Amino acid sequence: MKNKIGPLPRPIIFLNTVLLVAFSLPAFAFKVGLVLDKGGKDDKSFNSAAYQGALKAQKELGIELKYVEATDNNLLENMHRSFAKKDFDLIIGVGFAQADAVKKVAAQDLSEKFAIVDGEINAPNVKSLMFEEHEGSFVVGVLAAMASKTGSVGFIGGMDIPLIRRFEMGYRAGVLHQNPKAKIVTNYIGITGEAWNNPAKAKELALSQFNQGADVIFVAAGASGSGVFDATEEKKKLAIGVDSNQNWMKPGFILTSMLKRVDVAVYDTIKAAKEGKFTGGVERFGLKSTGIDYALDEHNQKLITPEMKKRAEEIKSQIITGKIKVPDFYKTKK
Amino acid sequence: MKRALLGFVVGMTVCLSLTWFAGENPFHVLSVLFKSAFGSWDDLALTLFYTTSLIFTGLSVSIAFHAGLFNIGAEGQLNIATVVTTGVGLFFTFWFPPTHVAVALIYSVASVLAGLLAGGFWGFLPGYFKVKRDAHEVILTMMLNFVAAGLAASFVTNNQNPNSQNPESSPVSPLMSWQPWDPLHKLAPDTPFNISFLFAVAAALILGVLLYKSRWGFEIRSTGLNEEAAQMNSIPAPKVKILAMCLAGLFAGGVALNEIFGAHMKYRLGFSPEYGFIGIAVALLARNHPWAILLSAFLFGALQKGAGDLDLETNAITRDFAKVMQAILILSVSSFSLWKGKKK
Amino acid sequence: MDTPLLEFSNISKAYGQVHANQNINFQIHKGQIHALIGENGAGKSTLMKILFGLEHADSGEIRLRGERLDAKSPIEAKKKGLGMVQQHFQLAPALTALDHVILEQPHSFLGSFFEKLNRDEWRQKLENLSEQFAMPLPWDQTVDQLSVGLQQRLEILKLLAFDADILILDEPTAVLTPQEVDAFLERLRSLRDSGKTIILITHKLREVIAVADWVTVLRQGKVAGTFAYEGQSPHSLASLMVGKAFSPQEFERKHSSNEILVRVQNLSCTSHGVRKLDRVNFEIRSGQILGVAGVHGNGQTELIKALIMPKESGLHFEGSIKYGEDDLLHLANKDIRKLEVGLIPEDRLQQAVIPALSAKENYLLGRHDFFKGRWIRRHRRDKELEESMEEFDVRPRNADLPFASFSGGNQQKIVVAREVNREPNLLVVAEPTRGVDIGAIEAIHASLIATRDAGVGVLLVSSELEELLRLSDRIIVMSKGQIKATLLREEFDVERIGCLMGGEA
Repeated sequence: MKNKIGPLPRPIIFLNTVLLVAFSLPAFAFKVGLVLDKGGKDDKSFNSAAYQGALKAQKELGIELKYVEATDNNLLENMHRSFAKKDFDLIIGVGFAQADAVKKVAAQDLSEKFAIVDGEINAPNVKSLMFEEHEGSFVVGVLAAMASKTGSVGFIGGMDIPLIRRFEMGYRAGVLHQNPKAKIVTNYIGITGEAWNNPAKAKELALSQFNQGADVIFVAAGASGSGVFDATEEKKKLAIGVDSNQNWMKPGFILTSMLKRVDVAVYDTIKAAKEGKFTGGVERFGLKSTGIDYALDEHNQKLITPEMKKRAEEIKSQIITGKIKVPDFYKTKK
Repeated sequence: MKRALLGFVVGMTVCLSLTWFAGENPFHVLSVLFKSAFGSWDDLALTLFYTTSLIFTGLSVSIAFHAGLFNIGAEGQLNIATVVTTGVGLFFTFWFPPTHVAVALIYSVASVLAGLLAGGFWGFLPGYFKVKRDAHEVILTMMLNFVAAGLAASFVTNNQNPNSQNPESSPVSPLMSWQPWDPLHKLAPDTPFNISFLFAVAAALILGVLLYKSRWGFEIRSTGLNEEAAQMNSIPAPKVKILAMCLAGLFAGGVALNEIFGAHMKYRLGFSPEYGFIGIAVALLARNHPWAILLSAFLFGALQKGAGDLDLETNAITRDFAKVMQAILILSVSSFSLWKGKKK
Repeated sequence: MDTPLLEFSNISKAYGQVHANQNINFQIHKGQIHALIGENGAGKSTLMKILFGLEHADSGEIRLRGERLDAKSPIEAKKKGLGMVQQHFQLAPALTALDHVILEQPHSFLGSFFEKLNRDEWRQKLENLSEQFAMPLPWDQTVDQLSVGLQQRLEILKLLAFDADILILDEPTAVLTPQEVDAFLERLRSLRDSGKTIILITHKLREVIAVADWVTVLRQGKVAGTFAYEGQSPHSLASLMVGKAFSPQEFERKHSSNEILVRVQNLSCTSHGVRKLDRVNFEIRSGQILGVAGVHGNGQTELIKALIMPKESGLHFEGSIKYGEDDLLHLANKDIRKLEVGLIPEDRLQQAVIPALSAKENYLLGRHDFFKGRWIRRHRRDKELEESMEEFDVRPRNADLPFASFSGGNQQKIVVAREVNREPNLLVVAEPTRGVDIGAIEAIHASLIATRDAGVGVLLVSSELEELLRLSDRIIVMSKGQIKATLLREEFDVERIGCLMGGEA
């Protein structure tokens, strides 16, 4: 998780580079450009996941990886264009904010291959990696309802945007599916990008939700989530993490994490592209492809009872087979 | 000016040596920065796009400085101006959809004027309370930044573009765009660079003349330098201060030209990479002279753009390094300029 | 004679084109009061700054007790027994007198964190010192509660506390009332008698006559004369200073119209519970100079504000000030100035001008006749300013220089020219010659008389009694916000005015 390049001693980086070059010299290296969102590669959540996926590809597939972090949105287009000009073989944009930029640059350079996470673009040279967050939210909703003793649960969103509304809607449906009488408290941290990085406010909201009787909170708020985990530990309640597996952050207080396997999606896309199997169009990752899942590891073994696990698996298969239709905010809105 | 240049060279040298410590070849860094600003039409245009907004906010900060006030509210002023410009534009778009280009042009000009006035009003508020209530303008402008951000967010929530995940408003009618007849846009159609650049340059030139040649320029500077003497000698200092803050807001509002009709046609939450705050540095570097602001805005525009390119073209330097460079440059240039002041 | 205490040899210092000091040679002997006199801009301050380590000479050297003194900083100079009281005191209003002394005691940087402050020991030491020099001071009061005279005393005691034996005093009497001046000079004598050497920078000849043992006259950066002060007449000193024979003469005055221009009725003003003006009644007549005598702080400031900026001053006035049809109390400064009211305020750099701007721009202040709509009539302004600089002999004759780069006298000449040449009906003048050299004083006085003769009503507030006596047609004496008496020119009497200023009937 914390595998960052930064703190490594220089010689190791050097060695890595030498090895990489050595391995990839014979065939000319497959070059991947990764444009990260404003959050940057260390947000322990969404961008981290994308970066991890690309890093894994770098190690295992011997590709050449270059990543940049957006300073401001005006530069996104420029960054994609720069990668395209340098004839990178695959350019990956992370986050919905890049959709416009990718769409424009991709239309101008049809020979270039693009991928975008969380943005839906219909173009032959763009692969859109979409996630069915509502499905996973439904599953963790069921788990939350089972774990709750008070019959009241909470949801804390980061920035109030449709994407996070989608999390909320799925979660709500999941909770009510398990316990139709459950009470659900909802809060959003903010309406600007700051909301992804405001643990203090998140903690405040969590404490107030606990006071209102909630005892499990699902938080989908990027780096702000740590504030909720703090509050959870303080009040001895439970929280549910998001995107990456966050169970390790406060073992014993994090019921589970809803996984959005951006790393897997990025890795698979790179792999396919390298093997010449790149296809344009939208690929949706859901429970079926395990691009969306819930986390079960040594940190939350004791919290998830066998009964809960059984129920979760049951729900999962019901969603996959279509027996349960999870409401999707994107579709209900239109 | 010579001193400022010397300070720039020294600051640049310090920055480049830092890159060397970080494990980069400083000449490579320099060439990346240079290419980032001048490498191609598109590069230059994108730099100039930043420059345009920075000229406006630099002027905003400097005119307040001239009146002895510290306007750290340019960020809020430009936000309000941009929101109102978009809001009025959307109002026309939905209620009186333009059918003809000429009508659309009138609409767009009306929207821009409304935006500028709103920016001016956002400057007027702290000016008024400073004068009448003796409230501190730094606190006021800072707080009004938050109010503006809140209003902008609520504006976007209520006018969310249904076709986008991004927090942005619906676009105004494409007929109102200036791009079809904008000669500057044609130079670099792939960038948001637009005619507003000319407006910004003109604004700086005109402000320079007015500030140093006209009566109100004299009154503003006198008030800023010695309020008591101004007041004893026919200059209504309180009014002058309010006026200066209104103008500051108005100039900051100029960013709306660059952002809306010049380029994006919609209000995007967080569109400004803190133009208002970089504007303070721009004004400082130019020592508040409107003409020098043209240069210093370009420099900071280039750094803003260079930040992304450095990240892209080098291994060790990240976007944060550009912030470090900005800071070092401000420090070195202003200290060199001040050194001259003390020596005399 | 044995080796002099201090010896200046061939000191030169130039700022750009301006030679502030040129080949300065003279000596200072131990145990004397050495007066350093000269017009403003003659180079006195520069020389003392070099001595005290604030500036460095371009060439030449200073010897202290025969050894080369090359003070790189005031700290070094202090260590060698030099002490300086600047014209503007360098005190923190919120600290007590005692703390000021403790604060200045020499210490190492690290030591300052660990040293224990021993207030009682210091207080004892200082009280002894006060007693020794007969300069009592309330050591536990904060500086803002001390009068200006006591603040000055604190500055001097501070030097004594650190065993300075050469005291440099820059214009020490500028801030004192006439009564205080005499006592102060007396104290200087006793300091000298206790073995201290005093360098007294001044341009007031009266003080020189009273106390100086030795006099050095500087003129235009050079030594014009250095001699034991014995049997010199003040006139010869004055002519040395200005470089020509000098005698203050009576002005011839035209017969005045005696017409009432301004009628002040029952003017009162209370600020923070203090009655600053108490039912003041007087008239200003066209073609006359009305002098206002009084110790500073007895309502003169408020009186000027009532005339010139009643609205902007933040004070609340009652009564009326009739000026033609208008009541000035109801007008804004801008409108009052438009009624052809000229103003030479008491604090030049704070109220009359903007030091950072050029002389040209400063010449615009208060002059609505130089504006046409939003634009400046630069040609008209430049022409008039050029003529004024010629007429008043302002040096350097460069109107584009920042105002601050002119010497005090030249600054004031520009201000006077600006206000007189606007052809006012009423001219309000306060302390027109404060911090101004003798040459400029003459020019300014002549100009005020000429203005009077042209039929302008002049109100002249001054703490220099000689100035008032010389210029005024009438004098009103103010004390505690009240007018104690109105005297016609033939009734002028220094002693009587002195008594009235003190509040006696």
